[in-house]
Order: sequence, then C-alpha cells, then structure tokens
Amino acid sequence: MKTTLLRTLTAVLILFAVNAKAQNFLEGGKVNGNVQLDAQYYSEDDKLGITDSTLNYRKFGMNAYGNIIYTNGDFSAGMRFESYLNPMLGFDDRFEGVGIPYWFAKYKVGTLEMTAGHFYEQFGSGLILRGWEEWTLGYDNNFYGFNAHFEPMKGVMLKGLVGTQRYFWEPYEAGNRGIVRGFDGDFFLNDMFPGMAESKTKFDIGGSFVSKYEKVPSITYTVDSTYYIDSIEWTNQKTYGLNLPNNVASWAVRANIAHGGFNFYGEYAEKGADPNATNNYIFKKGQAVYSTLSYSKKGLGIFLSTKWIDNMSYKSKLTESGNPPMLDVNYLPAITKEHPYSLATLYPYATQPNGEFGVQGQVIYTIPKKSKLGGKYGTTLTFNYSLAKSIEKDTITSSVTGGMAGTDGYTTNLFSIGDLTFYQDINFMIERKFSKKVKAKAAYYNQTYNKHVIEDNIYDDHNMVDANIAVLDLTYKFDRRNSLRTELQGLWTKEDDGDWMAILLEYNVSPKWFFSVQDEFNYGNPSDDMQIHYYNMSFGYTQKSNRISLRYGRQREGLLCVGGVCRYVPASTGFTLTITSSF
Amino acid sequence: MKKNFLFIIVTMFIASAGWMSCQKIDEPLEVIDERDFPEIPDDTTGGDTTINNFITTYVDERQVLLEEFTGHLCVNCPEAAKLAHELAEELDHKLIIYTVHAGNFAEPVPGTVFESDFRCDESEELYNNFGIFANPLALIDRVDYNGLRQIFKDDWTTVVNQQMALPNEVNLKLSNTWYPDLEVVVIDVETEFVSATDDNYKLVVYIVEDNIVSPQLNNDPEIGGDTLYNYVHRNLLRDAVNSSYGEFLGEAGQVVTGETYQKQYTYPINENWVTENCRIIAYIGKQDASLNLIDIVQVAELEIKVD
Repeated sequence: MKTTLLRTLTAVLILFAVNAKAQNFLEGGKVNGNVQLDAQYYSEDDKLGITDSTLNYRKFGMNAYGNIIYTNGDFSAGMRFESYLNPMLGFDDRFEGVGIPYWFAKYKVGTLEMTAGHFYEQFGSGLILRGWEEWTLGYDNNFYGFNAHFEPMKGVMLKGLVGTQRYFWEPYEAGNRGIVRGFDGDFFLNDMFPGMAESKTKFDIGGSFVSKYEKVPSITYTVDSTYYIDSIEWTNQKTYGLNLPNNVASWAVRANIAHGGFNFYGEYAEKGADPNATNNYIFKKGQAVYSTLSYSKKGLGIFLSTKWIDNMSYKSKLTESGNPPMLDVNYLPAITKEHPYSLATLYPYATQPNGEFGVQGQVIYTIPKKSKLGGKYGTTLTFNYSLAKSIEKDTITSSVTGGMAGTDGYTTNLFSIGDLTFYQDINFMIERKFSKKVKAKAAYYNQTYNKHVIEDNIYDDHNMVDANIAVLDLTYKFDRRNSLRTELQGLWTKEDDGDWMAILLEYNVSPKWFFSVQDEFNYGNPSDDMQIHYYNMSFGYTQKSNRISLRYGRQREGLLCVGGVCRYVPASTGFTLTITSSF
Repeated sequence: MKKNFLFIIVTMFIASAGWMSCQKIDEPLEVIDERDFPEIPDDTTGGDTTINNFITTYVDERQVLLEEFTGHLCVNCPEAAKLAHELAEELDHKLIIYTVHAGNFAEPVPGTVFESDFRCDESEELYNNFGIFANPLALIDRVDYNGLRQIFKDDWTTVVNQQMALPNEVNLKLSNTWYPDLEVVVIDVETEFVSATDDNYKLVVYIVEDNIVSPQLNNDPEIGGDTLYNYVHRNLLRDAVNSSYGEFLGEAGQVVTGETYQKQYTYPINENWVTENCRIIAYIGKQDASLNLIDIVQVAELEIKVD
C-alpha cells in the first residue's frame, strides 16, 4: 500500500510538473522540510506501578514525522512521512506503522487553485468543517481527494472539496467510512462593491454546506411480547431496524464586522438528522452558535466569546466514537484559555459535543511605561473568565430501544442553559519587568472541574473538583547570554488527588544550551502511596535550526488538551529524546 | 454586472444545498421483521409424539454453496439450473443450491400464467447488495472469481470444483424437530471450528421450499418449449430464519479453533408453504464491511421430517 502511495506521488509530481513546464521544472524550484522525532525509553517504576508487563514489554517508543515540500512558482507538492515504532505511551496502538499519510500536489492558474491528494481545510470557524492536525495529540483528520479555491472576482472566495478522511493507516475502501463533500463562499463586501470601498466598517459574510455520504450499517432491536392460544404461550417477536440516513447534511452562515478596534464574528450552524455513536443514535438535528467580540487599542484588549452547541458531533463514520477522536468532519471551538503552567493544566476542559453552553471573557491591560503604577517598563494585567455549562434537555425514551436511540432524544431550546456546570476557570495574571535583569509573572487560577462529565461522560455533579492554583515565574538575566528562570506553583484542592506543588529551575545559555530541573509533588494525595514526586531533568542543545533535547523523569497521568480536543497521557518513567530540525 | 454576479452565486448556494440535501427520516425505527412462535414446552421435546419428527445431519467435509439468481421470465435459467443440479449430483450433493428469485425477471405478470410472486425481502436484498446485473448468475461461496463475485454459468463448474478442493474449516451439525400441532420447526445448529481465522464469523439460517410447480420461460429446446407450464422450481428461497446476513457466532464473531458454538431457532412454517417440501439451509461466512457476508466456509441442508 505504501509503495503504491509513493509511486502515485512520484507520478503526480512528474505529470503535473513535466507537462506544465517541461524545461524548467527544476529551475527556480525550492525544497523545504522539517523533521520532529520524539523517542522514549521506559523503565519500570514501583511507585507508579509500572512493570515490563504493564508496558507490554515495549521498552521503547518513537513517534516521528518529516515534511518535504517542493515549491516552484505556482506549483507545489509535498508529503509527510510518519513513523510510530512503537507508538509512544498514550498513543493508540493502531498508529503503529510507517508510511505517508499525507501527500499533495497543488497548482494555481489565474485565480483557481487546485489541490489533489491530501489537504486541510476550514470553513468559517470550523463548526461544520475543519481538517487539522496536532502532533502532540496524535490528531489528524486530513481529507484525501480534491480541493479547489476560486476567486471569481475581487472579494469573493469560493471553496469546494470532496474527500475521505484519515483513519490511522487504514486505506479508504468502499463502505469502511464516509465521503465528505463541501462548498463554501466568503464575500468581502467592501472589496465587491466600489461604493463600500472607502467605508471604515468592513463586512465579510459567508456560508457553507457540507454533506457526508456513508453506507450505513444495520442496527436492530428486538421486542418480544407474549400471548396465549389454547393455553400455549406464544411470543410475538418484532425486529426493528434503525432507519439510518446515508446522507447527513449541514450548513452554516457567518458574518464578520470590523470597525476600528472592534471586531464581531458570529456563526450559526445546523446539521440534519445524524444518529451516531456519540449522540446515542438520536435523530434530532444539531445546532451551534458561536460568536466573538473583541476590542483592542494600544495597551488594552477586550475579548468576549460565547457558544451554544447541541448535538454537533459530526463524523464521517457514524459508528466511530471515543478516543482518540478520529474522522471528525467539524471542529467545535474551545472557549477556555490554555495555560502555560503545568499545574494550571492539570484540570483542562474538553469540548462536549452533545450539548454545552460556554462563555469566555478576557481583558488585557498594560499599565503604561514610566507611570507610577506601571514602573519603568510597564505592567501587563490579564483577567480571564470562562464557563461551560450543560444545556436544558427534556429526555424522550423509546419503548423499542429502551433509551434515547431511535427518537429525537430530547427537546431543547436554542440558548437554553442547564443547571450542571462542566467547567469554570477564573484567572488573573500580572507581568512586570522590574529591571533589565529581573522579570516576573504572577498568576492565580480558580478552576471548577466536573470530572464525571469531562472524563467519564457521566452527566451529574457528584465528582466536582474545585482547585486554587498560584504561580510565580521569575526570570533573572545574569548577562546577555545567561539567564535563570524559576517557576513556583501550588495547587490546592480538597477533591481528587489533593494538593500539589511544583518547582522548576531552568538555566539558559543562549542561543545554544538549556538545562532544567523540575519537580511536581502530589503531597496532598489522600493515599500515602500516591504522594509521589514527579521529577524531571532535561537539557537541550540548539545548532542552527536543529534542536536536540533529552529529558529523564516521571510523567504524571492526565489529560493533554489542545483546542478542547484531549488525549489521555498515562504515567511513565524514563528518558525522552526530542529532535526537531528544519531546512 | 455585479448584481448579476451575486445572483449567480446565491443561486449556486441554493443549488448546492439541494444537491447535498440531507435525507428526511420519517420513521426512525421500522419493523423489519415480525414473527410469532410458541414456547416449546420442555416435556414435549423428548415425548413420544415428537421424537419421530427429529432429524439431523452432520457435515465434517467441505460443502459448497451455490446461490442461483433466477426468475420465471429468465429464458436462460432452466438450462443453468439443470447444469447446477447435474453438478450437485456428480458431487454427491456436497454442493448445496438454492434459488433467489429477484429483479426484473422475477416480477409477476398479472393476467398471464406468470402471476406468481416468488420474491421475498431477503431475495431482493441479496440481489441488490451483491449487484446482480443479469440472470442467470450465481454466487458460489460468495468468493471472488476473476475480480467478480457474480459468476457466469460457464464458470460454475470451475469455481465449484475450486471451492470443493479447499480444506474443511468448520464441522456443522444441523437438526430439526417438527411440532405438527404448533406447525413449528425447532432448528438446532452446532458448529465446531477446525481452523478459525481472525475474521468475524456469522451463521445464517434460511428456509427454502422445493418442488414448486409453476410456469417458467425457456429457450433450451432440449428441456422443452418456450413456456414450461409444469416447471419444477427447486429450493426456492422463502425466508431468513435469523435475518438476511445471520448472526455472529461467539463474541462479535470471534471464534476459537476447537470450540463449539450452538444456536437454536423456533420457526413457524407459513401456512401457504408445503412443509414436507421445506428445507433448512444453514451456512457460515465471514463478515464484510460493504457486502455484509462473504467467503462461505461451510453449508448444510436438511429437510423437515413431518411424520
């Protein structure tokens, strides 16, 4: 299979390029690329309960990729080579293998750009379609097919695509997953209409349609009832089949209005009946509203966003669910802030596609330089609040399936807010440079985490974690090359694993070297055996665009989330080698 | 000009919405099968009245399944049916045949001698799922031959012999007990895997009716005239006992070599069928994502003993 891919790629490269510009294919061409290799060597650890058998005797894991992209004028082609030998802990076993899961050839003539092969695409904010890839999550839902971008006139951008999606290393075969078709239009009104060209208010409207076709499986339910004829018991057995749709369509409209420092973005999306494993096979339509409002001027930034989502899991295979998330057609934006400090990420938020209401507000204010409060270099204050709650649902139960399956599932009203809190994060950060040598950041976080909802899909409030986190981050520059950064963190909670503290010392000799030691200590764990030091020592070396780092220590278990999409990371002990390089 | 352009774009949007429109589902749950069967009192199983109606067959050699797609309007079908049955004769009936009446050639023609409708839901389902594009065509163990699973008459002998030469993978024991008062047959199936693979195995149990006399078009002068008024239709597919593509053996079809898997079905015989002509056909195949069930590894046929 992989050699076929390679051959296809070569053929595409040759055909596209040779036909177009036979003589100067190599003239003026550029090749770029980058490589990342993460390798881990695991050791047994009594404290964490890790033995060779819990590791399945896989003492070594390596995830690596290399991108190679050739560009020549309006033509480009490239590929990403990946290998998981074996997949590192916390990555699905089905990733094991080597190959080229992504390759493409693209050219542009006039205002039409065509891509053949694999591609990533996004319509609006992604509510009904987004292809993206995130290495640290092991997330990749790239499309494989054709993608076209066309600009028929100034201010109008039309996009169309047809493709199938990546599922580990499994090649597409008729019936093993769906086909995604999509069309999108963006209209920049100020560019389209000369009368609006001078207007200070900028309007951009857009709309998209996406549809998925799939050969549906047969899902049946049997209902028995008994009756008597001449004292003999008879059973009436009815077999019901779920009438699953082969085509599931969705559409979205959006608008962006900008005026001076203000920017408003709003999008509404709807999805037709899409019974699937995530929503428990209900036939209700899905709805989503997402909007952001921001204002910025020198020294001040205000950002507000809100979303309301109901039944919006949209995958190109209806039986697919669980982790890692695969075959997602759409993306539901996360509206919680991602934090840089390790204890502040202990309780991250994962988007709940079956229904959630969310709101976020953030204010960043810089107290001007050389003012009384701002000091010589100015002081930046950041306040952020985010909240995610359930939506109101009145459940409907089917007498045939005994659950929501086969019905509309529940009724709800647009913008209804339920009683159950999924997540709340109130945080405040202050950054100040005291002198040329000293820089400091201090932050406080109060997080409410519904462990049942986020980790176990249990919709109740019986496992809420309320955590307070404080961070102090100090950087001291000895001279132009040498600097020391320290992080002191504390997390206090009465629930879950109890209190934590963390300390980090990082010494930088720029631009070539860094050394760091870190310890996260779960001193408040209710179980004495679990009061563990998660220590780490690492160093790194940079040479031109190459960076090599080696780390030894313990990894604590937990969720790693990027953009509301999460991966479970199991506890481990050992060496980690990371090499990144680009050319 | 720009207004026209906008108009075109809006039209395109609406058109694409129509093109990709979602399916409207009126009835999320549909009854796809309904049957009534009596609870068989335990004490009658071994009783004097029923013991005579017990019959069993045990298959421990490879047998091959030929599913013949046919119809009473198909002129070439009698010749193909004759070939298939001669082949079965030669192979000492290790070739099991049933006919699937579906598609255009099987449609009833009101007001003529071809009024009978021998189609059933399962036959149409097989016909559509396996992309039967002409008659006569057969599926032989549902295997691929020269890139096609739909096998032409001229290749039947070759493919049957090829399948017959394969080693036996499953031993299959099929038993029936007929309860005359209830007009019900209780079917017991026992399978023992001689060599199982990682595939997901399913057991399918069908009921067929043999010796149905009804007109059939013909173009083989050796067999008779253009219309064979008293044509004997053999082993005609009537119904599925456990759905078109059967049910998994073991946990989701995962079976272990050496293990035995048992199933029991209670099936009331339709009053319009002749019970003594009815046969139970049980076969085991492998689950497939798009074709549902392929690669039949074993098949058995058994009559119903009425007295």
